[in-house]
Amino acid sequence: MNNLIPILVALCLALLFSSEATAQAPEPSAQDLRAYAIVVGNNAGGPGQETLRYAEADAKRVLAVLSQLGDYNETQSKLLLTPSPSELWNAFEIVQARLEEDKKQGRESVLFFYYSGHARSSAIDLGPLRISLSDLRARIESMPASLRVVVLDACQSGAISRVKGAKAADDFSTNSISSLSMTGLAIMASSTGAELSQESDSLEGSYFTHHLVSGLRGAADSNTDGAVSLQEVYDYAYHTTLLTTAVSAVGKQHATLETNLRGKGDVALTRPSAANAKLQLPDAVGGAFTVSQNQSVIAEINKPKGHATTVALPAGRYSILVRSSATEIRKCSVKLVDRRTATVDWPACSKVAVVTGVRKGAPGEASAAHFGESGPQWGIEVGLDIRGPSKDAYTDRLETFGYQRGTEFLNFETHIQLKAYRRMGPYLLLGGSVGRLETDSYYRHTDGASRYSLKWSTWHASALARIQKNGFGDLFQFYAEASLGLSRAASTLKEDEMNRTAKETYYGAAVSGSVGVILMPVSYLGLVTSVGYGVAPTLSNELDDTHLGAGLITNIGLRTTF
Amino acid sequence: MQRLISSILFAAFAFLTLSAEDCGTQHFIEDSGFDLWCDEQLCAWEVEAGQVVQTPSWHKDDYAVEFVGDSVVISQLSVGARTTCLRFEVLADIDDNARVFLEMDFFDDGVLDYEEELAHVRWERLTFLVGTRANWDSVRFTLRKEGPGRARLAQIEATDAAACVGDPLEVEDHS
Repeated sequence: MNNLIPILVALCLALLFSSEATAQAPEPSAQDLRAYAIVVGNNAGGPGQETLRYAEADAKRVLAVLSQLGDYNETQSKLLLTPSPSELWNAFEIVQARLEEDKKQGRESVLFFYYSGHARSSAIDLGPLRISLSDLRARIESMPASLRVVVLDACQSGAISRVKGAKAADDFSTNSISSLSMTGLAIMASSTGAELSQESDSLEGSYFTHHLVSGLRGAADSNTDGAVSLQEVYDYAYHTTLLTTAVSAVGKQHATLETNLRGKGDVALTRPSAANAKLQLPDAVGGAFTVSQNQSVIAEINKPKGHATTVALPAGRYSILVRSSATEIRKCSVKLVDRRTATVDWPACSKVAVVTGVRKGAPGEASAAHFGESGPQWGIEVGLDIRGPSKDAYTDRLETFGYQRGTEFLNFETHIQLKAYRRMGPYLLLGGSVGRLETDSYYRHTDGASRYSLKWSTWHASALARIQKNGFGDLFQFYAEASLGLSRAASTLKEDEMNRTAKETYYGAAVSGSVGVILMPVSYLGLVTSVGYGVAPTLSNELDDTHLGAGLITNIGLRTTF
Repeated sequence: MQRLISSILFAAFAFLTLSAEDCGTQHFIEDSGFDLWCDEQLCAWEVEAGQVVQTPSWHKDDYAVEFVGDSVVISQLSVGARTTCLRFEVLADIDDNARVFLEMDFFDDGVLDYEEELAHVRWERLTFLVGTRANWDSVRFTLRKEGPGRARLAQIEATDAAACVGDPLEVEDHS
């Protein structure tokens, strides 16, 4: 037994040294790791789908950040803009050949696949043609890379906040995650299966990809180790996408991530610390930092006070809008040069007046870049006014002179009204309306065979102001509206026997007020109904009696927003 | 069956006859709206004194007649109709410096049987009821203006009315 003790000690030491040697084995160097990217942007829609605005721009931004801050150089990356299925398969063929060569050489490899464009529940749409998810999964599975990272930002169409995905129930994300996940594969998607993904005109891209890129540039580096891992960028994209879509008309959007990376640990996608030009946001200031260049938002960073954040950006001049509190916004200008880290000089930043009435909410939600995104900016309404006859001194005079109203059978009249308006704030809309206010006719028979007939018609063109508030979620909108404008009345008096006709034109004012409710079952189309009172004192006679054209007006119509 | 159809047709005829009340109304004045003009003169009225001209009423193309000058007289003879109750209506615009009288000469014998001064109004409808014995077969309506002020008439009408109150006029033919 005593002879065994030295042997056991020797074995334990041997095992200890062996495990230490294993733990201290160096990570593959950059020379040992090859990174390949296939980045696809597809604006074109299939049948029944609108053309997207920013899917291809998103793809370019993703490739740019990967090549600037990752290990993805241009020769190892493929950017495909609105490709055909065969072009996509060819790209896979080329990358596969290189991956197989790396494998022979014993090199580790990473494949990054990104897709932004239209999708349906079982396929991605490449213009009129589709690639089924099962085919795409099989192709990615067949790629001999050590690690495969897939990012999907699948979308369909929209206006300011564009709806992506055919239907919420058929959304690409959940289906794709559950069907494509496999060993050595990480899939990040822009939304859950119950949600729709969105684009933003003010960001000139999709919310998800915008925040993904911001995160990859360093905003997501929560542990400040100089590298942005898959988990870090997902956490960042998840929260920021959720925050900025919470106030959009379509609703909240939750990014999703499923990983199956056995033995790999966390995966660094970019290394902002190694970038040439860097922007440091001071630790003394917390809040929402919106970095823009040439009127385009480059990155948005929500940073707490006491935590310095470094963002890697190409050299150039940038404008930074910082909202440090609900009442303080400052604008800063920074010039980034290669091999330097520039810091935002907070005291030198100029103060910006806070716009009264801008919706306030979670950090970043009320940043200037997102002003007005609480709903569509423009709206058009086509409605039918229903109103009764207007009785006043003018019509009393007609009756005194023996005239009788001509349309007594249906004692109301209907007129088409057209309104267009623009959202000026969370509750305020300004616009214009045009339409016919009134038509009427009166007759007088002489004791001969003759007859006098008087007909008139009054039109208006008005400016309108509307206070509007959502109710019951976004399904209903309630409003109060006032309008003021010009009216034009044209009258024709005709005498039959002598065939005499006298036409006259009058101009006056038109004033109205109304309250209404709008039912919006979908974000861009709804039903509107209102009741109001209008006055247009325009038509007059030789005895200075003025027809007020006043009356209660009921309106029903259709509304579209964009 | 034929009896039933006949009964229905009779009932329908009786209903239409009784309900067509306006068909039985007599109109005693021609061109009640002063709409008929022969050149610059009224076609259906005789201008016995002074001058009348076309003038706009509520609309520049719906004419009235204006009595121009201090003394103007126009008249119209209505023949062949009779009633015991005359309803007279006129739409008038008469200022305070003018006086306008409605006169009726039954039998057109030159003897004035009825005279009423029209009120000073601004385009209002004035109505009179005149009861008579039903022994006349013609009547001359005369409108006479005195004074320099404005006097305009747009519509004038005389019809038979259902009932008049008060003692009826005793009218005789003095010719």
